[in-house]
Amino acid sequence: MKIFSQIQRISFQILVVITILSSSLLPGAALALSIPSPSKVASDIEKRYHLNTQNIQSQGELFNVAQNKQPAPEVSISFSPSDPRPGEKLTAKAFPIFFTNREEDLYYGWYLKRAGCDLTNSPSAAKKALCDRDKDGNITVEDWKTEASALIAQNGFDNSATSYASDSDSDGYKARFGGDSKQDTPDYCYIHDNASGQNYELVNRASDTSFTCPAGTTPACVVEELEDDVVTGVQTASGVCTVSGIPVCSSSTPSCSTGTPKCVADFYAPTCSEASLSSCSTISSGSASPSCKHLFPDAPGQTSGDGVFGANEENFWSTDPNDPDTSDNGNKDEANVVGLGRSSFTWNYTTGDQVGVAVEGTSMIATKHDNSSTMIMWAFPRQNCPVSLASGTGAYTETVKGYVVTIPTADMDLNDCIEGNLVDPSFGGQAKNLEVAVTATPNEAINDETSDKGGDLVVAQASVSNGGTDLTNTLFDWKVEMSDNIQFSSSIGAIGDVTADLQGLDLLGSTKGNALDSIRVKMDIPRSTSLSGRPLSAYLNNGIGYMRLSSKVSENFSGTITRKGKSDVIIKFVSTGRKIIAYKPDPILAGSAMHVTLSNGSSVICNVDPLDRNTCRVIKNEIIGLGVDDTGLANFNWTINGAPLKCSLKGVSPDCSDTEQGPINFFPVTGNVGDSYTVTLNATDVATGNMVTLSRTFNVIEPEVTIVSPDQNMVWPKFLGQYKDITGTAASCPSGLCNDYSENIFQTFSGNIATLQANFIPSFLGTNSQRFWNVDGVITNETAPMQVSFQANKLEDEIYNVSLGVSVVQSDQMRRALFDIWNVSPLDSPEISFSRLIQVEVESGTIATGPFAGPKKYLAALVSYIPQSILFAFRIFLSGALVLFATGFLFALMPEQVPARASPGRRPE
Amino acid sequence: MREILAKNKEQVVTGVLIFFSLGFLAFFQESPRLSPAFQSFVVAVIFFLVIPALYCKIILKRSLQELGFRRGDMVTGVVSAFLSAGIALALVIALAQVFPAFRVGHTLPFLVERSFLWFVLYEIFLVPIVVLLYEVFFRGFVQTLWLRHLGWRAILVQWGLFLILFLISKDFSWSNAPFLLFAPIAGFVAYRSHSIWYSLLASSLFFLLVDIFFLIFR
Repeated sequence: MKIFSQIQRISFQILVVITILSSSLLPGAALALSIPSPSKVASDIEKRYHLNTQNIQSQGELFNVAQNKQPAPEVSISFSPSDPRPGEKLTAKAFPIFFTNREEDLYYGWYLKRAGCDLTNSPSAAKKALCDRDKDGNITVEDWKTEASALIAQNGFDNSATSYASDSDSDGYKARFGGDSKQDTPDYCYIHDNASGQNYELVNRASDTSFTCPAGTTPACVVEELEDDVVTGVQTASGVCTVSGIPVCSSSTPSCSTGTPKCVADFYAPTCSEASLSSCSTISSGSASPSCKHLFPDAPGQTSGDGVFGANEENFWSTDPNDPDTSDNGNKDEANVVGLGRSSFTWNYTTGDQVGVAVEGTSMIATKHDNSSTMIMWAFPRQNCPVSLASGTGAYTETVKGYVVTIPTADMDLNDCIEGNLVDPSFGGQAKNLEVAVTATPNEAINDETSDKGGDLVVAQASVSNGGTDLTNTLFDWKVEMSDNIQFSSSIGAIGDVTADLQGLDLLGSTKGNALDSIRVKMDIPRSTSLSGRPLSAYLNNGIGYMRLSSKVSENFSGTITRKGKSDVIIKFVSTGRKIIAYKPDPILAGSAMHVTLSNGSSVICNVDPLDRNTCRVIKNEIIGLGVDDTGLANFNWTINGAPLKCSLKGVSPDCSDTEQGPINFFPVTGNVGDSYTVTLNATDVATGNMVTLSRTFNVIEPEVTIVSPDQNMVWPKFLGQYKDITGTAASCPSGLCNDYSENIFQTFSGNIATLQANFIPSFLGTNSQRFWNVDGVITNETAPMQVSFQANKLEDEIYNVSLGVSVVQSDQMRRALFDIWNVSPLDSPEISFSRLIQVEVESGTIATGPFAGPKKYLAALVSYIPQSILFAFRIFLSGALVLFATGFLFALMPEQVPARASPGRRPE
Repeated sequence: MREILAKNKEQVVTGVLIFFSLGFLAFFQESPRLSPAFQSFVVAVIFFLVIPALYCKIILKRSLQELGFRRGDMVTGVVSAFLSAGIALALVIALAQVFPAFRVGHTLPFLVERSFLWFVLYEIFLVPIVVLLYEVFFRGFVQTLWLRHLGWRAILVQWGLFLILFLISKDFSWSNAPFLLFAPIAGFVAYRSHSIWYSLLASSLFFLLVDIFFLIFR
């Protein structure tokens, strides 16, 4: 039987071997026998559920470091206003994230570092007075916290008359770790290491864990940076190492989430050759001493947030001992001191102030402890609280659910993080850049190359959208450049800074100054003018050029910081010497209608006076003819004030065509005084194909007549005095003093022939006006067109009153043309009357004009310089002498008393 | 008629000159180009001082003593000058008490009121010069030379002419009240002393006292 069993077993083994061999040697389809394996089963499952092994592997790798990626609380601060001025109320608003608390349950530990209040243990007396808020003799972060907390708690309360002998209010507040909403939850405070992502539990002593590092070295996780080989593309070690965190001790083995545990001599500048850290030891949770400490500022000898806020604390914080809510924000005074829900902090900003906040609350990260706890954490605005500031790090172990759990620890005072988390309200770029925009009108300007100065006025305006100061404190520096290409590229064409040249031509005013947010460029540049060493023509391409107006803006911010900005705008300009010529057309009868024409030798108007050549002055109900030199031009298009201006053969003038617009046009002046018409002509330059744009402006004015003297040797305007030419540029004032002459009072010498002439504005009115001269009430006929003469026979100091009445009326044909062409009723084109009155004073011709020679000449000059008082006394004396002479004469004429005659019969004795 | 004219030739011609002079002064039109005070002063010097003196010397061929420029009765003159000045001052004080407008209306130049030096110069030079013009013309030329034959009545006539001059020239104000008030008194002093020097002394003294009074008691 035994033998039989052995035979059976051997046979089975042989069968198995044969089967295996046959399955490997023969085609699978022949014998479908297989033995299941775990890997095959797993592989089958992956395939069945479409799981990609590489992705699963990647997820696994991420899972390995997931605990280092947990969101730690953060806080950011924004300021309003963003560009504070000294003395201005500035509000800092904290925006905390990744806390489980509501915003009003967090503790906002604000701190304010005034300028000059740097940390020191040996401050000067002045610095103590300025910064030592807690009177401990040192300048510490407690002073910064006290400064801010006191402002929050007081909120402007004036305690000068407050007695702190007693405290009647009940304004104590008991603070809870992790925020006001925490209740009966175990307190575990943590600090997050941004580099490693590791969270360290805060403990009183870090010796819970010890690493075996040689003397003079400290444990650290060291990472060697990699670099790409430019040839092979393979990453290789660079030989440069950095610290990525602090090792943790688990099962007596130091480990790092990133890098290798090493003992480094310099924590901040490790080398790659540092000795490896191989062993460590940890203590159990029973020997650990977790520690949570608020960052609240304390009054001397007191503790903030302990639920007791007595008179001493009230006095220290300058709050009202009889008002539980001194700051009237809904919090008790002690709650304000600890910053409960105070997400905003407002104070009077001073240059150099820096502010920060340490937000205490409960994070979203659960602890490893076997209870309901989550990590209590602090957030700082710069997230600058590295675990390297800790006195030491380590770990302790705790048995949770039967497993030994290692908890990293750090012995760290979070007050050490405050200095590195100060924020300057003027930081963040807001004090660096000004947002400047430059606009210019018109978009396409016309440069008048002629002497008429009828070019456009380009106005460039700079605006600053984020200016923090008044415009008067903002400096604008303008620059004007020209180029023949819109890219302003010197490789394409000419480019030049023409600012100084335009100023030299009086076409551009000041370009640098405070509040100079706009400049004006008068486009009256002659073609041959040198601009930046080149003629204007060098900046033109077929008559078209480009002008770039740049503005650099800077403002003085807080006395020391300067913000700057710049912008520019490019406009196109067309430079031309052509001009729209204005005519006074003639009426012409076309069939039954009256039309107008320029073909009968119509006179050119507005072509003499420079002012008229620039802006033609016209009066109401005139018909103005327009013409342009059409050489080389085609495709005319006329507009007036932006509206089409059409001239047709049938309706307006035989000079025009019904099929297309030509170089001649007409328009009636129907506007009122003060209105203006801008006539624009667009035409195509046949040679270049470019569009040529010409324009001319007409202003409607009240007609006026002035009376002048055509011969100022005979009649001259009265000299009124002199005025100072403060610009020193007037050509008629070579010595800086300008003579001022009257326009209404003239002078002449007795006996002169006084000739006066009427000058009309507009000048073309003279030809169709009726004039009525009146000299001292006597109607006087003109001696020449628009002139009157009379002999000044009056005595010295007497005057002539000369008036001129003018009546202007259009001819009947023109009034009919107005009606027939533009339907202007004759009732709307009546005559216009106006007048002018002047006086002519008669001067003594003997003193100033006498053609004396020899001694008489000098005598006349001498007499002219004798004071009036002497002359007066002399005249009175002569009058007295005359009276005396007359009296003597009378005395002599009066009969003498005849002496008594002797009687006839008496002889003389 | 001829005989009457011949007999009173001197009085007639002198009277014509006096009325012409007063008329010239009263109706004189001031020029705006010069100071009115300067013009008035020049006219007054010519017609109140120069013309009477020249008329006396050249036309009448008499000594200036006829105009009162003589020693006269010195004792009577000095005594009557001081007495009349005192009496006139008392009269001015009484008037000032009765008429408050007098106290207000009699004003002195600003500098004279504020500066003692100017006050002294004013009282020593300006007041006597102006007073001299009036004394020469009214007390000398009118009263002593022209109307001597009227005796004491000449005092009233010269006073009347004085009043008329002020009336015509529309210069009848409280500022000139002391002049008008003292004119007959000065005439009395001149009449009694036969010299205008004492009336000049009396007038100067009177105006000094009046100015002091108003400066102190106004």
